[in-house]
Amino acid sequence: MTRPTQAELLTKLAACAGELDAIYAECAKAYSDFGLSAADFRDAVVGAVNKYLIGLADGSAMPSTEEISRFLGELQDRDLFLAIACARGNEHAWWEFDRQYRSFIERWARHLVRSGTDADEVIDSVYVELFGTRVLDGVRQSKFRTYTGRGTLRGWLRTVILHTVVDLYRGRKTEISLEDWSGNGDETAERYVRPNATRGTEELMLTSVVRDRYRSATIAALDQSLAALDDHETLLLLYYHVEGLKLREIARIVEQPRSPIRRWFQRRRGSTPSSRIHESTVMRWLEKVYRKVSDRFRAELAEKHGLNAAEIEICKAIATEDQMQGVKFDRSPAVSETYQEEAGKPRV
Amino acid sequence: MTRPEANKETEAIRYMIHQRLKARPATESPSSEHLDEDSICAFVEGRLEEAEASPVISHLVACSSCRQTTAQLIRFESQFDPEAESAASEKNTGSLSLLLERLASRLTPSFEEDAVFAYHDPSADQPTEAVSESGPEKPKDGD
Repeated sequence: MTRPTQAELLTKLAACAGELDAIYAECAKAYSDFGLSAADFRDAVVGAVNKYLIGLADGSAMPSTEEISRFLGELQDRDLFLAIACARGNEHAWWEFDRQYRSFIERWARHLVRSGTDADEVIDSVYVELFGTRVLDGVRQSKFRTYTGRGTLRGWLRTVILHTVVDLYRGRKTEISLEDWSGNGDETAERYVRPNATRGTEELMLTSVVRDRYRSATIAALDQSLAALDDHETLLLLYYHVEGLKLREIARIVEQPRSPIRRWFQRRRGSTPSSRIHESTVMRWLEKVYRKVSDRFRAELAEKHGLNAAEIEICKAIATEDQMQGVKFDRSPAVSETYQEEAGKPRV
Repeated sequence: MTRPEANKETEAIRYMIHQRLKARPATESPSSEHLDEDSICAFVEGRLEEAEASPVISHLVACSSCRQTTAQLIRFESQFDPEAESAASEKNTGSLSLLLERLASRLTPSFEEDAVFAYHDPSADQPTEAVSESGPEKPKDGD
């Protein structure tokens, strides 16, 4: 199937014209002096539908009328209306934006960076980016043009400000990572409670060759087990073990009833979507993932590497003993790429 | 397997997973482009349908930079002074709905196994008036 054309999408959207007109009328009434036409607003909505219901979804299927209708119902319509008007340079819209968000932008920027001077620089940069200094085909490229109304304008601004902070530090070519300036870098290091590895007599007799063999099998089996996880499960592990998010912070991201991670786990548990998410719930999700990895890990070692139960225990003992002795449980080359280096790619 | 054995097993696998994931290269993004602010915001706010979220989640698994951005947003958000959010937009403030949700959550039992873990405050058994006497909790986020 090919991607639906703009004309096809407009035809489909016409079925929801009543809803769209009502949304526009309500926004135009609230912001009567923004000078935004119904066509301007519709074009922005078409762009949002195109991006999320076609682009991010399977990319070829035309969304149904019901899907478009639900999408319109969830649209942060007033935020979008304000953003479009600002992008078009309407002065009233800018004053309104400044009134609603200036304080928030300043507080958030000062929350992210400790230095007052840096915060001022971030705030200035954000405003410059929002206004847009580059002109393409006679159109000023305001950052507001990238806002679609799928999330809140406030949440979008948070992300823009965070990226601006990252860009600021990258621009200075510092080696400061996000953890360094945010002061949250120690959590992950303290996260893991070292298990008490017992030094079995059989291990003492192992030659380094044998140890290497078991270590290689262990790493290969673990990698296979992790690769077999669903992306939702992997992301949960990464948030907890790599990004150092606390259980309550992960619970926060999934507390939205529509959170895709939450719905994925709940569907597999067969629980009701309205269940509240506690920190303990996230812990149980993690434990289920650990068990899944553990089962797969054992199966991999047994089936692909031909190890018996005792040898599998040796593999685990080697891994834990390596940690006790400060040996990095990794055979990959050390990677110390900073967030800034990786963050240098364009955003789409 | 006994429970202590199972716990030991989980502990060992947790350690190995921790070490292995921490050692993962940070530059495995499958594409040369990052998620934009709009998509990141929509994901963090939990507004994406599953079909929309699927490619975003796959990207976050592979792209440490975007994942770190989402993680930082979540972390900073939980640290952010709620006073800063007082001017939230009407549609998403949900101050009233948040209050009602909290009241409802205290008056109705949690579902399924969550109830086992959730602390049951005896005061939650009191009538609604008693709950509101202490005053509503200020919403953490105005969104």
